[in-house]
Amino acid sequence: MTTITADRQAALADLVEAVSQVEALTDQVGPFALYPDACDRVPELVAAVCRALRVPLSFDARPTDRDFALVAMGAEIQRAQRSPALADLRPGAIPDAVAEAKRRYDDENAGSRVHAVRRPDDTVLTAVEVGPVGAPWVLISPPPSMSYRLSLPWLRALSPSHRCLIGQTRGTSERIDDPADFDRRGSEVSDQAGDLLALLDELTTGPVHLMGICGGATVALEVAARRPGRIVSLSLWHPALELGAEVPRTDHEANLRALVGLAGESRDTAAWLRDRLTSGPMTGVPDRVGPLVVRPYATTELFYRYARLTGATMRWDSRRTAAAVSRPALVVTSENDSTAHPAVARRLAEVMPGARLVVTGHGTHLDAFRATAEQLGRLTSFLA
Amino acid sequence: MSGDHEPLLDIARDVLARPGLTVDDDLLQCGGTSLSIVRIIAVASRELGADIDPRNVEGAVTVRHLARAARHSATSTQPLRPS
Repeated sequence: MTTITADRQAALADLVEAVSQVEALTDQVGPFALYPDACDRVPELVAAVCRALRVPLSFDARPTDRDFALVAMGAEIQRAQRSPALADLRPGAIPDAVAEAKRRYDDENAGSRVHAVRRPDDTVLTAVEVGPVGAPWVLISPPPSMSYRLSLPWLRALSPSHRCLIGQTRGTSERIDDPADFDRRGSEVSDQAGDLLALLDELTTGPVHLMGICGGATVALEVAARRPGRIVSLSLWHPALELGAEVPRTDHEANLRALVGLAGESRDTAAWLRDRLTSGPMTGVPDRVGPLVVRPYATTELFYRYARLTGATMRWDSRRTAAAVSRPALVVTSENDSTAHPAVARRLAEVMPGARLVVTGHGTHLDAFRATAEQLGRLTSFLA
Repeated sequence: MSGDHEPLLDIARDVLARPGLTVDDDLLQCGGTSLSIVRIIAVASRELGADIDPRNVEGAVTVRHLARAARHSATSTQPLRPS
């Protein structure tokens, strides 16, 4: 095996991360085609890495009628494989590069345990666990439909000292055989809260700290209210939930609420809206995690499910639940969050009897997922 | 929608919360995002029966250009039309 330079190792790690961000999509929908320009510099390497990681991507989507969800899904792979450190990769060096990529992928996944929990309605929930057995539990409620990978920084930051569990929203991880099953099984907040309770009851023991991130705050509150004996504390990060008309919404919340309301009406309507949403560049797609954020738009069926699940949490009035949660709570937001209005966090802290509010003067909504040293210090102090 | 942009303009003003918006303002320069533009298109479909395909918008995304891209059909079965 030849020595791989540090620059090339970093570039390969970047490529592994980019491919991994699409993995959950192919796990659910099977082989998926991106545009050829997503692997325009080192196509042989990208194809070999995809094969090694068992992520069935192809790069032969027809460029006509360009679908900008597909563009965004391929953007990180495109960026990673354009690294100067990979530009002069000779064909003979590809096997070693792929082996290095596979080693990095295996190392990252070595510390995680994946669970499948079957619900009475036959929904199969996927949950990822990291951290030492015997450490205090942290259960994370992510935004509906969003991949657990978006919360990876929290898992990585907490796992040395905590045993963390994060679930995937119903209908967004298991293979889609009959789309109608999703409708029969339900997508309301009661269904989503029942799923989180099932993870709590079946996979954890003893006291648990619950984290709700963004739209996951709605479900976290429901679970905290229903299991006060198990949930010893609650932290809500940049919460996005419904607390009545007097609490202002951001433009983003107003637009998203209107669109998921329409898209959740039927698959035909979801297809109509998705077609128009993806007919041009999608604004606000962040760098580095774009494929994770755009995944709900990747297919009409996923967009419909996203609309049903997210629409349910956006409509759900959390006022009564929030007032009923008396456990210690930490509510964190940013003055500059233009996605989830900071007024929601402020109002939550007013109505929750045991809440402490932290409003930072800087940062964006994606800070909810970053697990910065400052955030980690704040959380661990709260948990101590 | 040719000749009369007012109903679509009202929708765009409402969605973008810009009462002073004109038919030639670039919506993306006036706080518009892909979500809000599609919301305008969806409301126009529901309330005006206008089927606007963003692919047919030529030039900047303005109310005038959206209106020009609109296709009306009394027999359309597109799903956002009022039943």
